[in-house]
Amino acid sequence: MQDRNLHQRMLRGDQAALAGVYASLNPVMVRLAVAITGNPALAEDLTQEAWLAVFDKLATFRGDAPLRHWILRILANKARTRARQEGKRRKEETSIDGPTFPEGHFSDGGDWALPPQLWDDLTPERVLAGREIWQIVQGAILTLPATQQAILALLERENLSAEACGDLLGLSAGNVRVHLHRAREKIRRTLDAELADAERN
Amino acid sequence: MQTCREVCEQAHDYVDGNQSLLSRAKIGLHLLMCRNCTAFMDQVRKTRSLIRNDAQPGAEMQVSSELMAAFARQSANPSPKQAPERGAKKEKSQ
Repeated sequence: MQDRNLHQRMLRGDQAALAGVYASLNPVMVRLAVAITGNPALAEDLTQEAWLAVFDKLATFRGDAPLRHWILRILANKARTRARQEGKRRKEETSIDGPTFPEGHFSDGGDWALPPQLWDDLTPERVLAGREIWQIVQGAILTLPATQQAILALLERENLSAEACGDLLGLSAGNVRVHLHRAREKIRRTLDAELADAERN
Repeated sequence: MQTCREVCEQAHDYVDGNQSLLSRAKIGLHLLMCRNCTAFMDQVRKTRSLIRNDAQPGAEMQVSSELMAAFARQSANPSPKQAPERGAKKEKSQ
């Protein structure tokens, strides 16, 4: 749906337009709010408050950015303000120190010690046919720190730039990219282990 | 010549296209000669694609009746249009 069209429909009170945006954006919003506040219950409340603020401010939207990004901005501002008021800080570690790969992946000389397996079996057909692949990816995402879950949602689903994502989360664009790569790498390792298991059985 | 570890540490930037032409060329050259790193790069590409296509986790998520009622109320009685927020720091359009 074109952004301007969506905005116009929401201004007219089109409930189907709201339902469509809500279904896809609300999960991303909750992840963003959890990443900022470190508090899932508070994040749910803030997300609802943000929607009310969106309804209230809808007429002021100018279209300088996509409507979905404007909504995320409203939520991020609310979450940061509330986190400050309550003296809450992001609880989880947002440090990006430490190696990307676990010990033993490579030799001291930088060659492969544990060569990767071929994922030839992971064809698009198998991916489409096999719900288990989605479940593995979903499960792996849920084990990530809240910041990385939010970054995956913002970059991979909402197509925000690393700069825009960092702006929402209070991180530099460089740190956003490192978190993104760490998150993807963890999911890759999970998939690799699951596929190796399936191969053995 | 870059080591396999160095290539793999840049793999996500490589598939995202975030690198200079020279860096891409160096990795491309390594991949031509290294089956393991080629297999790894394939895993990275497929992982990225799976995450991107892992769409609609909230596809069944519905607007609560409370929120829908607030939306209907607001649409029926819209707030007076506020000044455009282009220059405002908070909640401006990006």
